[in-house]
Amino acid sequence: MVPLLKGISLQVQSGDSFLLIGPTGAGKTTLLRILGLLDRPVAGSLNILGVDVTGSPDRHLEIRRRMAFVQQKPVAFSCSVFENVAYPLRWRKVPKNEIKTRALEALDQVGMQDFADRNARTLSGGETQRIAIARALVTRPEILLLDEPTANLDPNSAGKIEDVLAWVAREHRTTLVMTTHDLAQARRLAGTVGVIMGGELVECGPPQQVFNPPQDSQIARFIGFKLAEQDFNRMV
Amino acid sequence: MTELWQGILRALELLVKFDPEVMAITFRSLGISTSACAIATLVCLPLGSLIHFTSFKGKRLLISIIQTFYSLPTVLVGLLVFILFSRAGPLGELGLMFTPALMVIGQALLVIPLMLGLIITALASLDKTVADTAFSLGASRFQAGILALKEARYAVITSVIMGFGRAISEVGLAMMVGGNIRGFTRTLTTAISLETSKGDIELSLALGFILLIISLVINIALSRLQQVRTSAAH
Repeated sequence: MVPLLKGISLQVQSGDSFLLIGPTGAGKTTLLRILGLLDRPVAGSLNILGVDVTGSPDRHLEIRRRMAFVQQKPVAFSCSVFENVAYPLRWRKVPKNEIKTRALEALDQVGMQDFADRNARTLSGGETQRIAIARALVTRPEILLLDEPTANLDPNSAGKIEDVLAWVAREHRTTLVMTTHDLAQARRLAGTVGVIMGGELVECGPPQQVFNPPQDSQIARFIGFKLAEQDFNRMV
Repeated sequence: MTELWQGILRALELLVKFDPEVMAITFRSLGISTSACAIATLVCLPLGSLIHFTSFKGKRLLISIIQTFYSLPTVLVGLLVFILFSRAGPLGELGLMFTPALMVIGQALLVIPLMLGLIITALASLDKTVADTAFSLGASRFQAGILALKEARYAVITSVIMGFGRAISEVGLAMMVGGNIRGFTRTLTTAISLETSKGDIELSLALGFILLIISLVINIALSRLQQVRTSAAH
């Protein structure tokens, strides 16, 4: 069996915006799913919000309810947009009047307030993505995991979502862990950037450290640095 | 040929005039099969969810065994129930032999494998992202299971209808554990079997028409569900 992730050692500070970049198939989604307690690592330990969850599946539900995950290809449940966003609150037994207020607020944050009564299955890919983000934000998570949340969005919508995420991170001190292919987005949003390649975390640090200039030729090639190999070697 | 034609006309007359015996047999059949399906549904919904969402050794083997029992001969199930509930059997003291209650139990046992297998298949055909999304947003296993059943509701309802179809059309089990007692355990299928052997074609035909109508309604319901399911998917 070929391991998807190798020797990942990672610490994300509370309140940080950690953006994970890397080529397709590098292991970004796998890492995110492990952090979201959707998959289990075969070795190693995992500590989330001060709780060692490695050997404690009975604590997973408690921890998962303090996080929220937006999948790469989100799926809408077969009900209205409002009900989709209300679901996580119903699972947490939030009172009805509070569900209504918070769900509408979350829809407003992603610009989907006029879609509340629509059948969520009739939405476009981009609209579904925004609903998925609202569904995550409505729980007011301590950790927000997002797998390429703006991938299906037009630049204008993507910009609005970035603003929402930045606001959430700032106002609520929510820890963001996000994967992206958009390197400019990583520069804009990240407090810390992690570069994952071939299942390994090859670089981790503030954007200015990772991008300007990259310490590694492999990373440099990935982020499209237009340095010739010999120029890079001369620099080193 | 004239006899057959007269038999058909007489059968239609029994139906149109709501002959008391025909109606009693019909409602008894519907009651027994509906009760059996209700019990089977109560068992299969949680059990099907549990099997689908739990990883365990031998899961594939278990599902293969369940699917093998889809076409279990009704007389075999009848034999098993007979052995269990006969006076000499372990449950003989309950005194359920040759009662509608035992027919309900027997038919429930008959349709459970079919319903269970179809519900597991329905849940397995759901996009895996549905369960992942539920878990990632804080659903417990029970809550995720309820959501999955809601998302697969058309396929689940189809499995219940198919279970009902199997229950109402079986004759072997009803005959063996019900005894085909007039006014008590006589159902559409056992009555048709008896009346045909007696040569009473008119009553057999009347009951046969009713069974045909029930089968038709079942098929229309399944077909309609499939259309709704297809349009919901798009």
